[in-house]
Amino acid sequence: MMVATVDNTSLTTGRSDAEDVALAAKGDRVAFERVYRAHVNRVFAVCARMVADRTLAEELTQDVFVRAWSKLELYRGESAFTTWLHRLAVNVVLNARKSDGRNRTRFGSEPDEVDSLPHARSSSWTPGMRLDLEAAIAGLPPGARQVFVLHDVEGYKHEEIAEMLGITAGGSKAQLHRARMLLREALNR
Amino acid sequence: MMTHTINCGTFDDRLSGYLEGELSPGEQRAAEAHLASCLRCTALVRDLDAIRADAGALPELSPSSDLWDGIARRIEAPVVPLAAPAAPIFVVAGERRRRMDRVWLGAIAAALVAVTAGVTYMLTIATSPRREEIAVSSPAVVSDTARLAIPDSPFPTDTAAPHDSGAPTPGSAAQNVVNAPNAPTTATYSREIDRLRTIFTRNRNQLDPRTAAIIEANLKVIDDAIAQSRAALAQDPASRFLNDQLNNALDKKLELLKTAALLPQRT
Repeated sequence: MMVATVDNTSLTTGRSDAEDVALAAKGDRVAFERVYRAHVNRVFAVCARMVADRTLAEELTQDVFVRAWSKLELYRGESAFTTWLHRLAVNVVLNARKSDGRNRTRFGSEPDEVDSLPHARSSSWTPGMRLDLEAAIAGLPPGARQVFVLHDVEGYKHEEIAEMLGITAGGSKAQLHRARMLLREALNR
Repeated sequence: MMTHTINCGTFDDRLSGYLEGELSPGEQRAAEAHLASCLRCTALVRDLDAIRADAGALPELSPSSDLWDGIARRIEAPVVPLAAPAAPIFVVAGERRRRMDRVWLGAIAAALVAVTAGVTYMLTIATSPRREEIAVSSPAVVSDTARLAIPDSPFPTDTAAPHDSGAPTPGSAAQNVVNAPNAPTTATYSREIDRLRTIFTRNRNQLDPRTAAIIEANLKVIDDAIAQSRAALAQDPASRFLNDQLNNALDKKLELLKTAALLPQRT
């Protein structure tokens, strides 16, 4: 994974963050709150972009930190904490989508056989108005959106994405290319 | 070295590989040669490069509100004491007395455990006018736990609060007075169980089905114990022992729900 895109925030690096993580791993909830505040925007961003639903993303963000709290003692420091937390967030999103059939529509299970973006699905878009990239990503079919977010936004490699999504690396590349083409069309560049 | 020319269709077919840098040297040269002479494909590559660059530079996003309170509630799962502690058995004056306290408390706890099942059973099945009379005439010592409203309990609150229906009685009026100061505690306890139950219900599909089934089965056992304790309390509301039994059962339910709410997802 290209950790540069994950670790390049000043809020999440440095000695104090590592100390807070260590304290939180020992059960210090005050330290864990500091960890939360340092990382919440990053975690929320990946959740929001993957599910294209801010309300659901807030629920998932809470799930991520509750999960992190219960698993923090397993964090050994082999990777950057931000990388560990980020991967946890992605897993929470993907597992929630896979396991919660009742929320299929919330997770965006529209057919992936979409050849162009349905512009009307974006609440911020009206005919004649250019979509911004954020809204265009939200309008992508779920499969293409997840691959695009994981690869182009979050910096994961195709092999990592394939493992996470249970697809092949070739499938990940195909989805990525399709996502970019759909975005280009939506953005009318 | 000779470079084969390609048209836009072939370039489109190879575009993904071109952007990923996965073309063979010959294909790469052909693609670059095509780009040098095709405005349409040059614009396409430029746009896709820009999308990729813009995506990598997207900013972090902030939730609409602070999520910490919800997280803190879930990871802390505070357990509110249901009833005021019993009057001190001893006035603690020194280390020796504290040791004696622990000895006595241990002995009492052991005795309570030993007689729990039998007494609960007897009180549950034995109904007598005398007990009903006690329930009416001695409400002031009834713990508020006897009237806890547990949302997911199979037993309505009224079953644990005898004489609450119908015309007011001296006993029911006194109960209201006695329990009014503890209402926030009762509400907090109910809310806590309800909240944890909601979390467990929401996360149930993320758990291994066998684990979820075991949790459900254990919750059923605890709910049965709660129901039995309440039935017994309905017969003898003044019993601190029965109140303790109910408290213990509710504590176990909270602890189980708390554990269930924090269980990791199935991977």
